[in-house]
Amino acid sequence: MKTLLFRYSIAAVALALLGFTAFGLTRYFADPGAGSEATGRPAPAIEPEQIVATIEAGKQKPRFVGELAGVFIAPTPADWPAALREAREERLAGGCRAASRDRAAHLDLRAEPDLPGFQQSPPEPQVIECSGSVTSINREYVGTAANGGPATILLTRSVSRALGIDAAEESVSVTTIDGRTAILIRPVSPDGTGQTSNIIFPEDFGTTTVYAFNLSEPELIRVAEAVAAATK
Amino acid sequence: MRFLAALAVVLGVSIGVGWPNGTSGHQTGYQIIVQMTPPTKSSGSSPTLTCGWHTACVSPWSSGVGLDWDDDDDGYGNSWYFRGVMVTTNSAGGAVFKGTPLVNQTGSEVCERMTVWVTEFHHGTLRAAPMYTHVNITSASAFTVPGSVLGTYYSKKVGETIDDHGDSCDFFGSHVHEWDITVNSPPTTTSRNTTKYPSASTCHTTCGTHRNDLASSWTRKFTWNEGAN
Repeated sequence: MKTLLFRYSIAAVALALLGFTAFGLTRYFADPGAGSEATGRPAPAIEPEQIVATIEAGKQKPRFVGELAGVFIAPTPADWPAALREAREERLAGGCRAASRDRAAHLDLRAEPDLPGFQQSPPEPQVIECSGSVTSINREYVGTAANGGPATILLTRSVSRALGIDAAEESVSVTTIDGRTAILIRPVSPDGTGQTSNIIFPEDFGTTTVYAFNLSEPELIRVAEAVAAATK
Repeated sequence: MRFLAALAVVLGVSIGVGWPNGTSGHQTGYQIIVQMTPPTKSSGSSPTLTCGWHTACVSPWSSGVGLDWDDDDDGYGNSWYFRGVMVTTNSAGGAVFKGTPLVNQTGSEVCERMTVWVTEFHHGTLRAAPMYTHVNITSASAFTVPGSVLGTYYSKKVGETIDDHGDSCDFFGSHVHEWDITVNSPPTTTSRNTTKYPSASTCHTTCGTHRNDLASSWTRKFTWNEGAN
């Protein structure tokens, strides 16, 4: 009797092992990724609370108000000198609309900037006229940042010599990019994740400005170098 | 005995085939579908579409991924919402992703642009970035969004419409320009509802009113397999 029970037990264990082996092999071939890390370029993992906390902490710092390299920067036009503010109000009084590109030849780039990994979208520059006069020509680019998230760049050449940009004092500085004087507005943290940043080049006609999103400081500098080369 | 052995193999294979994929890795085997709906006016209202699919709503009309929504109030300071009907194939439902409002572009002379980063709740992976132009953010905190098999409607006020006049901004009155940029493609698939909503060349003033709390009003749809890289 004991021998029979022993044999049945061995048979039951063998059958169970056989079933588990069949299950395991089936799972392996049905879903090779199960139980292992995915290969290839990983999708970016984001920590929303950390991003928000970093940005909000940056907002608590003293704001930059003042003139650098001939460009006045302050959080809003209300903070500008009266003459600059009134000139802006006069320009905008008649409203701003898209205009044809040929009217902006005097503001346009000498060459397209070399921005590897970025695609111009929309593919053509957009020209804006305010109260009947051309005020800017803009190019937009989208790409993927080093952190794996989406990055955007607006490159605008504008008649403005004053800009309403809300930046912390400590993030604003004057520098030289590829031989050109530039105002650098760094992201709140060097990695720039989910943050905005800027590069401003003073021009005879106004300013060339980069409005960047989700770029680290080194990536922002590379964009600035490409823009400097395209504007010399 | 041979019959029992064959039965064990058949059972093992059958269970293995029916087992959901990815349960022991990053993939959960579930699919998530985010169906965005019109971002203006309070839930249950029917905002007016003022320009069909476009890049810039000007002649000559060019196709694009943006829609303009009227906030139907005079002046500025009218609410805009991150909203839609959220689906998960997980019958248990629950949290499916987090939304993080972020400033994408800001300055007195450029159009103000905000985005909401959609990150998977399961693994923190960034999946989508719907965009909103001519608005600000009044609530910067990240928020958790639920889903269900039948679809859960979710609406969160994120900010308000603004006076967006500037030297570098084509702007003609208070509205929300709603669009998106591609993120992580694939595995996220983005669809745009060109059946329900017309192109700007077809309609660029008053393009009908559309209930903002119904899945049938979806404007763009982000679909991915939870945990997929």
